[in-house]
Amino acid sequence: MSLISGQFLIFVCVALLVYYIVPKKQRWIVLLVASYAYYLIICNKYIVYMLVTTVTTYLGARGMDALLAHGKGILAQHKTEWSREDKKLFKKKNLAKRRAVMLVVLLLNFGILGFLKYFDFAFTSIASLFGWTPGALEFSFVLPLGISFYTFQSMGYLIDVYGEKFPAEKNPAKFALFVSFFPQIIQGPIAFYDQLAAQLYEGHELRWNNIKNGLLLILWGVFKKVLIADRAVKAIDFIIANQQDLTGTYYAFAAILYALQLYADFSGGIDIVRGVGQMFGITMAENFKRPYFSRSLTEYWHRWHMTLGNWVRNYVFYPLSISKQFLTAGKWLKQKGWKHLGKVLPTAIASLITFLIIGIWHGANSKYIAFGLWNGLVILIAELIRPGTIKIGDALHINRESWWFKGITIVWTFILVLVGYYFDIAHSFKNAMFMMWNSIVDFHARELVHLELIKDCGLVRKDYLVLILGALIIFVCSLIQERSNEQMRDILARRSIVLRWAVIFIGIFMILIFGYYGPGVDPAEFVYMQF
Amino acid sequence: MIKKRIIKIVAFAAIFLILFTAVSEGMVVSDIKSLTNIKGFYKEPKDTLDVCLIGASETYTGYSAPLAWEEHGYTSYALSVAGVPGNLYKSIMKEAVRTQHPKLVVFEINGFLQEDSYFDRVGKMHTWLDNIPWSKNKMETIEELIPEEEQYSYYFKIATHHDNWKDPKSVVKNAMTKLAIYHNGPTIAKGFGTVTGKMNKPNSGKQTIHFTEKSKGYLDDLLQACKEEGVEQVLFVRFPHERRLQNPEVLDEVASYIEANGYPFLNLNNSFDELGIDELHDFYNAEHLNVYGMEKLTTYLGNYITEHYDVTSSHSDEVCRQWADSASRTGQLRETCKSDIDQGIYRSYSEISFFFPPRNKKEKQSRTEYYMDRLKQAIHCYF
Repeated sequence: MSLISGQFLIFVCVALLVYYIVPKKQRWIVLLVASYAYYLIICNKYIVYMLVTTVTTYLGARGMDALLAHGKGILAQHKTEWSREDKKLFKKKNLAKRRAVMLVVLLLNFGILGFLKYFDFAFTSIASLFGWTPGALEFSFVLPLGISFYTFQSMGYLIDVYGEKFPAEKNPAKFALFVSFFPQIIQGPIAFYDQLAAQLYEGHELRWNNIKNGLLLILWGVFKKVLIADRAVKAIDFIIANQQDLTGTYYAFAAILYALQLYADFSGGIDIVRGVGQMFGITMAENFKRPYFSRSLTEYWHRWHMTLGNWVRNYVFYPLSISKQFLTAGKWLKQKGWKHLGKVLPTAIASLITFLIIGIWHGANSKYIAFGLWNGLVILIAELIRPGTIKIGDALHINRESWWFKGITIVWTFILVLVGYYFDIAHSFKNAMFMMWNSIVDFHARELVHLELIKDCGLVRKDYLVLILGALIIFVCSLIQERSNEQMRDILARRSIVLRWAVIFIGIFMILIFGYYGPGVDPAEFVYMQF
Repeated sequence: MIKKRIIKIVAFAAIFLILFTAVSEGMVVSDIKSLTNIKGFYKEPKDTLDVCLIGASETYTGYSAPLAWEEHGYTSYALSVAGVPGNLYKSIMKEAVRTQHPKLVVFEINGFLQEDSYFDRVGKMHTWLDNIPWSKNKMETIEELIPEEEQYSYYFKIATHHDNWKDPKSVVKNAMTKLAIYHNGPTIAKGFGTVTGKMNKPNSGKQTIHFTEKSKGYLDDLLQACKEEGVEQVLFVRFPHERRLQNPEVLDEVASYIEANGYPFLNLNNSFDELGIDELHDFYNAEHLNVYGMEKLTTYLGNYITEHYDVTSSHSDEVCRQWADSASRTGQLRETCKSDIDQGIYRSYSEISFFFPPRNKKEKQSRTEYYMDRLKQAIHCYF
């Protein structure tokens, strides 16, 4: 049941109808039933993995809460008799017990995720080290849809309970809803418990604005996915599959198309998810904020897949960068006279490790590790040379706020992002390097006029015009949003009804007429469904 | 406030439905001859047809209903779809019987003489199903013949046809054809369509025909449906084809099969002498008779029908006047076609030629000229 299908439409309509019919207090139960029904339909027996995550996380969090409460009770009992040192020691022991519980649950859940996702890769790699090719054994495990997303979301909750950010959820059914909320289970956005849970449990009033805004978001998401992403992917797949017969021009073309396709696909999917949530009165976190307008790679990662970025920042980057070892290393460097290095290096190394984790999360392949390292290293180097670049800029009297400088930095950042995308589209690290190199040394601009060598990819000249038109529409909307810092639907709401309806009808009929769908057309799955 | 909102929602839905219907219908592109043939059939006044012929393109090119009226006095219509597979004959017959009560139904059997893959011709399914009105028969045909995962594209036509935006000429041509037929009364040519031009030499290749188990199954279905629908007089015919058969004995097998089921079979495949057909002069290609050949076959078939069946009935003055007009105008059209053939001019003729004169396909026309031409014709046709 794809997000863009008649079945999903019916499913959402029925869920909405039932949700708003039942009394407010029971509405969260409707969401829970709908979420489990949805996951059962799409994942069948693999729902067991989600159940394991839900049960272990729930018990782990409850266990930590119980330990905390127990500890507080004992401390209160011995308030007068225990010395400060005794209390400190007791607190430390209590914390250690809670940490042990957290680690067990983290290990179990990340263990399941890691095993299902990376066993093949790890086993094959180790076996090949000993000169053995285990192809015939075919160790492969089915990766349940959305496992990364619900695992990350649940583990974030567990770590927050450990950090006493909020108490553990007492009601297991409510917690199960937090883990499984159906619109987001497949591709996020990864939610934080304190931002989402209360919204899920609260019975929302039926508000026309929620329905209307939700539908507009869905329309925008479908526009991006059906008009752009599903069309662009045909050319990209063709180029990658036939790269031996093509020149570097086509590799560069594929990388640029991929930038468009990935954004349209992922952000389109998230818009649909957020739109469905909105219709239930639930506001989910934003995942994209015009990423291709970023002026540095660091900014890009603050605008791209923001919920994953926030997750790794909160649970990997910050704990690492303020860890004892990193702080000590920083101090040591400063003492040695490397003031800037001492200040920047610990966070830059933490950032590198974080990106390595993001890379590994993207897949079990050396190219993804390279993808993570590329992003981490660029950010590390940028941080290290920042004083130098500032000095050069000042010496040249460059106005960093001028439009041309902004333009150059945006284009430069886009190129850096594009390099990372080569690792994504290539078969392997070696292949990515080959494509990158040829994109430079074997680039012939005139080939882009006719795209003669990829005429069999299923797209004709008019399809590329649709892609350009779609990209232009996204660009203009993004520019308006960037300048006004408002959502398009809010801007639209202030216009006359004729203009509003005209825009909506044009959107709907552009999808219906120019969309890449229909019998015989194999629609591409959402890219992040495979995570 | 709520009342105002409801009005807005209803207005929005109404505008959407109107636009959606118009766009869905407008984007459907079919071959013009089949399109005019199918749409034209539904313009015939109810219960005014004495004979209905069903088949593929051989049928609408090889038979002219107005000529048969002129020569034999019965009303008829060659309801046919180019390249129609045998599994659609039942649906076509049911449509014919649903809207008319013909005394005789004639099936040209080309759709049953193909390989099994012929029955999966998606394009032909769409040509038929996308151009007939909604009915129980249409829904049953979709259920019966279309794989479940593709059925939605017959209910939601735009899913199949939206990609036609890449071919705006065809979209415009189809839309104008539909509008022309919609805006006018019963058709003039009664489904007849042809192509002019000359065949320079006889076709040397031989065709292999098939009568597979699947064909037999669909033929059984058709015969059963005829009985259920109360169609008492049924005639099966093989129209003349210029291309020789590699295995003519298959037609004998078909004849035996049909006759064993109690129906007659008239094999005219190579009866050139009997029909007076000149192989080089009376075909426009290996499969289709030209207007000269069509006149000979219509006369022959009309004689056969009137000799073997009682198909004539009394019609109202209005119907008779309309058929007389139709015979006269298609007579002129036939003369134009003959003149084209004699001069070697390649043109395609169908019902729509009465509204938009066809163009010599060998003459080049720029895109602007094409659209200006169409626009002028549309103004002439509709206003």
